[in-house]
Amino acid sequence: MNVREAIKEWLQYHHISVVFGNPGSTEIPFLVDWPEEISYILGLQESQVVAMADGYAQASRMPAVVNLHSQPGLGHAMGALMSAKRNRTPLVVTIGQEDSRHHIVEPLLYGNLAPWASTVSQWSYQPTSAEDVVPALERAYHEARRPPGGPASVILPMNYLNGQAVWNPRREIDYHAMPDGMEDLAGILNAAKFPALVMGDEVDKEDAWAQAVGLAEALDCPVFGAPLSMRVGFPNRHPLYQGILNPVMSGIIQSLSPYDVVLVVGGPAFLTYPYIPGSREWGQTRVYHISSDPEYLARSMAAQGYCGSVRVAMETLLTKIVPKEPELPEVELWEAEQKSAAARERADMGSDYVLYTIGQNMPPDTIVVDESVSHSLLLRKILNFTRQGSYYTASNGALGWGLAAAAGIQLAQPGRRVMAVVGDGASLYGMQSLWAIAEHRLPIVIVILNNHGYTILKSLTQSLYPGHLPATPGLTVQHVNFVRLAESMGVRGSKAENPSDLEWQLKEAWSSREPYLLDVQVDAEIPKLL
Amino acid sequence: MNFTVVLPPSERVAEQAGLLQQLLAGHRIAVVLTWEEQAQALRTTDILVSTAFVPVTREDILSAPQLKFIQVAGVGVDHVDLEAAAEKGIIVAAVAGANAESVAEHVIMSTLALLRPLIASHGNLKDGRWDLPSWMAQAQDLAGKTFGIYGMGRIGQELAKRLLPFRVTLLYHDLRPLPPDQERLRGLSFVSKEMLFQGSDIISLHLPFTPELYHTIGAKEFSAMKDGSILINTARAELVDPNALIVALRTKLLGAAIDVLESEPPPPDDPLLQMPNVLLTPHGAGVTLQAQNRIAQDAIQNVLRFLDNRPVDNVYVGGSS
Ligand SMILES: Cc1ncc(C[n+]2csc(CCOP(=O)(O)OP(=O)(O)O)c2C)c(N)n1
Ligand SMILES: [Mg+2]
Repeated sequence: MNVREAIKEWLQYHHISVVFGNPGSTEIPFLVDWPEEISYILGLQESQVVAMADGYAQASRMPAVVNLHSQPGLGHAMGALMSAKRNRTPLVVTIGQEDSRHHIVEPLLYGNLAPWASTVSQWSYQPTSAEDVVPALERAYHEARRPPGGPASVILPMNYLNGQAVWNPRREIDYHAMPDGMEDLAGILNAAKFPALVMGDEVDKEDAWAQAVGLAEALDCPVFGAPLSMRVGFPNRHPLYQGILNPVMSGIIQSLSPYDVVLVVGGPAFLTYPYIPGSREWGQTRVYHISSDPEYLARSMAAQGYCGSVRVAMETLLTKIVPKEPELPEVELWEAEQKSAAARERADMGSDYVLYTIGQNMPPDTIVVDESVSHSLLLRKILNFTRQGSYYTASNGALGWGLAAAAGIQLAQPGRRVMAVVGDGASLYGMQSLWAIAEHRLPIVIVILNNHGYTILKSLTQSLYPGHLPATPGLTVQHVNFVRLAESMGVRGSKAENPSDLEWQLKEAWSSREPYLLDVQVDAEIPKLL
Repeated sequence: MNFTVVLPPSERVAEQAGLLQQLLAGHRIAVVLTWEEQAQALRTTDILVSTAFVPVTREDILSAPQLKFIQVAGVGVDHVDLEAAAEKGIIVAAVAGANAESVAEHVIMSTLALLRPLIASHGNLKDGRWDLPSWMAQAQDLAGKTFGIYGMGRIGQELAKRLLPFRVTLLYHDLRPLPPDQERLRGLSFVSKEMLFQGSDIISLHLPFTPELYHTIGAKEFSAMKDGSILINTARAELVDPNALIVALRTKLLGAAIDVLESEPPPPDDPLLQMPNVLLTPHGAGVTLQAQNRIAQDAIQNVLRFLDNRPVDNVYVGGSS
């Protein structure tokens, strides 16, 4: 069997039915004789290819396969690969390379790719022969899943694909370790006077909401959302839920200082932005941290870390915690607060109104992809997240991820509706993904919160250098016709300039079962940041 | 026709009487100020323009053989014996909504005056005490608070509209919720009576009084209320158990604004008069100068409709129209 054929068999062996890519001449050997059982999803720019695969891998909870074009393709993909690495998303990245027989003369498409790829990968490798290719892919598959998870890159000189393939024994690896020390931790939690929990992204990634709610109710303690988390780790309408921690260290310490024991479950402890001077001392509070990511633990702000699956950890803790009788307040007033705020801001198309109206119109099971930047905090407060796997955002603030990720998530989860809420600025880093969305008729509702520029950067300028905003260039983006952009790529669109537009267009968008883009002219007021 | 017009005791009686003479030219008008004067005049009266200050009893109605129409120059008809009027085929009408804005403003004034120690600090200053520290320890914003409106009729709705810009959360309870679209536009959330009392920082009563509602706000409701919350009653005194109110004012409430008392004026030993955290007004929430004019105009318009054989508005008794 030649390597071209063997690669396709290898894909099918791992039940990989979708490959994301953007080809060049070095990828033609990879693409010829493509089997019908595997979809090749073409993205029109490599950052979009990788972000689609990222969304797909996260939503399917399996490594996704990406095919990139040598140094130009890898170059474009670098930012998105960095995001995937930071997201801990398992990707097998194949990168085409010139025929090995003329590397020595540095032909047109040649690049010394391994060093680049290594900076954005958990593992990267250029096979030294044709026989080496399938074993390298097999290893990449396991390297990508190795905790914490991330891209694993294999560089494929095009001539190797014509050689004879060799199979190596396939392996199944269960990386979900049971963390040690749960007995002690349960004792600490049982003895705590005022415990609190912080739920991070791994709770969602491991489908462990039930365990998180169980633990919170057994302890009858407040639960915070991890700051700047890429997932929602706890139902945001649960009576014990306190909202997301402010992502500055002094704010985190202040919010958690009333508690003697704080347990951070999953994700980094803590992700912060921007820098605010102040002490990083905890006072009386003792912080404990469980994560399957050794790196998160190594740089954690916690006094003690436990490495392993957060789901298994919480399941174990639940058997050892002496449950309290939670006295949960019957009705939440959140909804009422948001309803009043929405009505108040309706005339101005204010953020509270726009997000409330978006929330009221989205079906209960919707998956939300958030690249709404200055609106993100409000979005996580106002929209209802009552089921796990309903919220995705890039963990490193990289823009241009959202539209593509939404496409990947919708491909992986055809049974659920997907909504991408993106800033006008953010959307323009990844507009090409509208084409893929239209080609595959993915019924995604795309909401552009259009405030004509980089509002969050204006807010930051105002607070760092008060009064200097008028003389700061590069923060305004006007004159983009989003509806025509969408239509040019085959996506229906409309512009919502006032509340009645917004209300009927949202209804239209959700009922259409086709991709639909709304250009929402949200109030361009510059919110106070610090 | 013979008119009897009861005017409230005010400095403007003469002016108002003159105006009436003009508007109802060609008719005989008796202007009265007291119940005795009214009783005397009713014997030959066809149309009575009544106000809540002077009751219209069964005896009054029975001793008015020509009486056909009672127009109340006000929003309530509790002072009229409606049964007797019905028996005699007399039409009774009132004015609706003319005071809603005034009451709504009064509630907001009271809320703000209680959230900041307005009365006390004004008194202190006049007594020569510059008590900034105590002001700073007490003065609160309305913004961010949860405001509960019990009764979502005209006044409740006018109040809600005016409160929304204060950046408050609005809850309400009523027998009938508003349609969802209305709620959404006004930022109002319907909640149970229990939740209204548990969840609100300020509660204002705007429900009509019926006998089942006697002392409907009692010890149980006060115990559900938040510490440091406020009760405002501009509706009817009988809605609130006064003893429970006194206890709550002593133990948990920040304050109360009371515009309606079971006996008006209150006896000098009414314990409410001694409470430092109560704001009292003489049943005047709905009778600003502007409201009085609106009420007078609406009443006169109804009388003119009656004289013209057109249907009258806000009929409580009779009137097939
Ligand atoms: C790839 C990339 N380039 C630049 C930035 C810097 N950046 C952060 S926020 C932002 C502006 C976002 O504007 P928009 O999406 O319209 O959201 P808004 O703040 O206006 O709501 C930019 C450019 C980034 N995060 N990622
Ligand atoms: Mg913007």
